[in-house]
Amino acid sequence: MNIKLRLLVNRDPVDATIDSRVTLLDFLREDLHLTGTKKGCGHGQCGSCTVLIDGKRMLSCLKFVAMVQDCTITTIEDLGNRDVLHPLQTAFVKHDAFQCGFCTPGQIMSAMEVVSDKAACTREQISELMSGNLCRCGAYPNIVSAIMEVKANGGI
Amino acid sequence: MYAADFHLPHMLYAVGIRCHVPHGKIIRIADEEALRSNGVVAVYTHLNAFEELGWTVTEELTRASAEGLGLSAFKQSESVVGYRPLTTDVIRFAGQWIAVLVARTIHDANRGASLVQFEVESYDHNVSLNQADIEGSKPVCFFGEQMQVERGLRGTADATDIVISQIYKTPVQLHQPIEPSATVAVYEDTQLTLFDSTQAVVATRDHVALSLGLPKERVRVVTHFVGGGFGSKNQVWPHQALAAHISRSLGRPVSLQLTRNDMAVASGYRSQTKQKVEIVADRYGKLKSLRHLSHVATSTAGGYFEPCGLSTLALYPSPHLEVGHFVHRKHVSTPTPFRAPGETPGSFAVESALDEVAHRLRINPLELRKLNYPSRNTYQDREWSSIHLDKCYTIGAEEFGWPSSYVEPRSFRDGREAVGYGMATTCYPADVLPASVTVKLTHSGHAVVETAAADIGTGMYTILAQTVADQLSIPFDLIDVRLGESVFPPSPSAGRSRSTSSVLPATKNACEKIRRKLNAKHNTWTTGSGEEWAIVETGTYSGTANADNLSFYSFGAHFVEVGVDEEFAKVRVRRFTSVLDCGRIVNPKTAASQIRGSIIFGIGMALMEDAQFDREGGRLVNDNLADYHVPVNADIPEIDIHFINEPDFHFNTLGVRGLGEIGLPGTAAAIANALYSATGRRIRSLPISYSSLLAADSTVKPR
Repeated sequence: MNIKLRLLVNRDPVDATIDSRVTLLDFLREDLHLTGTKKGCGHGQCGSCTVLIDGKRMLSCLKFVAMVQDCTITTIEDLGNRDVLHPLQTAFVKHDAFQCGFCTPGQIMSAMEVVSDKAACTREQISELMSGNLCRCGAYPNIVSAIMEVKANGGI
Repeated sequence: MYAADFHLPHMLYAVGIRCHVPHGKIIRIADEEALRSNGVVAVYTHLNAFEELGWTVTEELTRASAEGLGLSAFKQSESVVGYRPLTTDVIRFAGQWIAVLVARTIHDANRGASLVQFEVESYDHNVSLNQADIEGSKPVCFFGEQMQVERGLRGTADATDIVISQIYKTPVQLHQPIEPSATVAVYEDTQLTLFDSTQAVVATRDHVALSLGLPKERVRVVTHFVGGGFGSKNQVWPHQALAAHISRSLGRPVSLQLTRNDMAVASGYRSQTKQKVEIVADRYGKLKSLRHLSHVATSTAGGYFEPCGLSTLALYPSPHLEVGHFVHRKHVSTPTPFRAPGETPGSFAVESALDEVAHRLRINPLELRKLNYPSRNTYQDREWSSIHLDKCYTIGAEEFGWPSSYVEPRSFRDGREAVGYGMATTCYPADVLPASVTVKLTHSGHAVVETAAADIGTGMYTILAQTVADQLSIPFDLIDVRLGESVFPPSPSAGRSRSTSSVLPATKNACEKIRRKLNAKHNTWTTGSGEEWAIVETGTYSGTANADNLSFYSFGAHFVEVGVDEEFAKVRVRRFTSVLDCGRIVNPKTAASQIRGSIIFGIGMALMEDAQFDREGGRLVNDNLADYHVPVNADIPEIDIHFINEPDFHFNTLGVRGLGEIGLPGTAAAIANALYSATGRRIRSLPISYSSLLAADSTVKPR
């Protein structure tokens, strides 16, 4: 069944008529060509597809587009660009917080919420809160260091 | 962009349809309903793939694919057929594709695939190593080493000698890089462009060209970024050529992405091993006999098996040495190299057995290693090109705070946790292959570096730019490194830790040629303007070491502290120190990340990774990231990495070796050894599970 969809993606209004069973992840990647958001499993197991929905980190593969009607979506494409990086991106580069880079957009979108989380202060707390985002290359300690640094600098 | 990020006009999407039985025959496939479904363009099966796609299997194609790796290790009489989906009605493993469906969108493809129906005849199956696996096939030579070796006299043990004879087991392990393999094929006017997620750009081009019957020059493989590989993308798998054949047949670009479930069977895995290690040592701990007999599983069609005994040949000198490999064919897909293949499961067995020797003799496990120090490679009867393993031991012990004398198991506690210390040695051969690199300079002072090598997250982009910056004194920011295209000068695949040692010397060679030209031109190249290249030079490296008759290896030592909550039988790694001797370190940051990453693989291997087959159905049940557990952020403690950083100039003039794998061997053993130190409980079968810990140790029981 097709539905009329209206939402805000990276501050741009998007109107589409689309099969209601399409996931937000596939919609972003295949229809809007916002391929910064990655498909690692499509089943909510790896965290690669993390985006912000109304400011909260969510797995876009577990959301049908029909569920995000009128929502505000933020993807990695909205954070920075090659010339002006987002503070989290700068910190990830500085701390070598990625190797292959494939999980990185999801890690950074997840970190967007964690840096602002006042309950997450120690390395252990951040590590726990970042455990929904798998990194098979094993950049975990460096990811925590990057987030710690951004927090120490006053967040985002 | 990663392969699956390429969107091309009129692109079609292909998905594989998997069979659920591990052994049998396809009787009937009904695709009519799927073909009527919205957006579905075609369904290919063994009945039409040859006619419509020109899709077939030949011995030459098999040998140039993942199925062919290792086939030459077996006697001709044992030669196996090779497997390619959609070429036969024979079912060889659960998860095999029996059809591939193509549709206009990924949504239409997934829905269409659910409508294809098929009927199979199921036969008896055998998917795991079991008691009946006694002899198996005996492979001859693999990875350049003999697989069946016996040196010296076994003799009889003296009364004061000790004998440790145990079986060590490692399970099936899945690479599961976070990027599933993907191929986007664009066939136009007898030219193919393949955007592909591969560690092996040149081999992929060659295989796909052979499959299509095209000259190599007409196939262009593009691999700018790879979302992790760990070996799973180092060989050529069927989906890569299949996407190309479909694109040729339908005249449109085709995207074929493996699913997470496909990744467990369609791009290899580390096979199950069952290893017997028998050590005879004198009462001081000096080895008299070392036997390492490995039983490993492989598929009914392929050649790859896990060469567990590789490091055993070289590392610890023993007057009697026996290494054997026994391969057992199962109804499973073909395994493939997985980060430090052979060395990883092999080192778990041997480094655990050495720890057992140390505890039996009440010797500090570190002292036992020092007592059996490999001053030279006694197996190859050669000197090492360079060895600083003694420094790894000394520095590691100091940094970690390793006890100076023997410590009884169960000596330390911290609150709820029993605490233990473990260590192990790691080593990995320093390999090298021919490579070539082009360096181009513009009049405006920019440099462009091109080679076919892929960067799979290892840092190749960075260290190539560093090398050119060093060699030509060009600012780092003015260097543009371009990797992963088959039209660039050929380089080896990103595997076997040999990219740094192959590609960097070729880069240096290109820079030297440029410097000679610059001297002749009195360094006037930056004064011109425009985008025309001022100088273009291609450097090569022969792929042979600088010195003959030496043995080239990297070494290292791991030290780990684990904590065991004995009431819950919960094990965690509390801290980890590793010291590595891998030649000159080009970039301390990316190098430490490589080692840290491989140690994290070792932590996964020790504590959680375990791909299991359903005994009745013969299907891999946890072929996904929810049920196959890999380490998450909270599982990982502080990991302290140190490098000896001594260049190995016998190896190459830059003194560099690869280091993508050496962190992994020894890690699981060090953790299991630390667990013994904490609890007095020896785990010889990985992963260390709550149940294995509870089952066999009376001292560890829930309340």
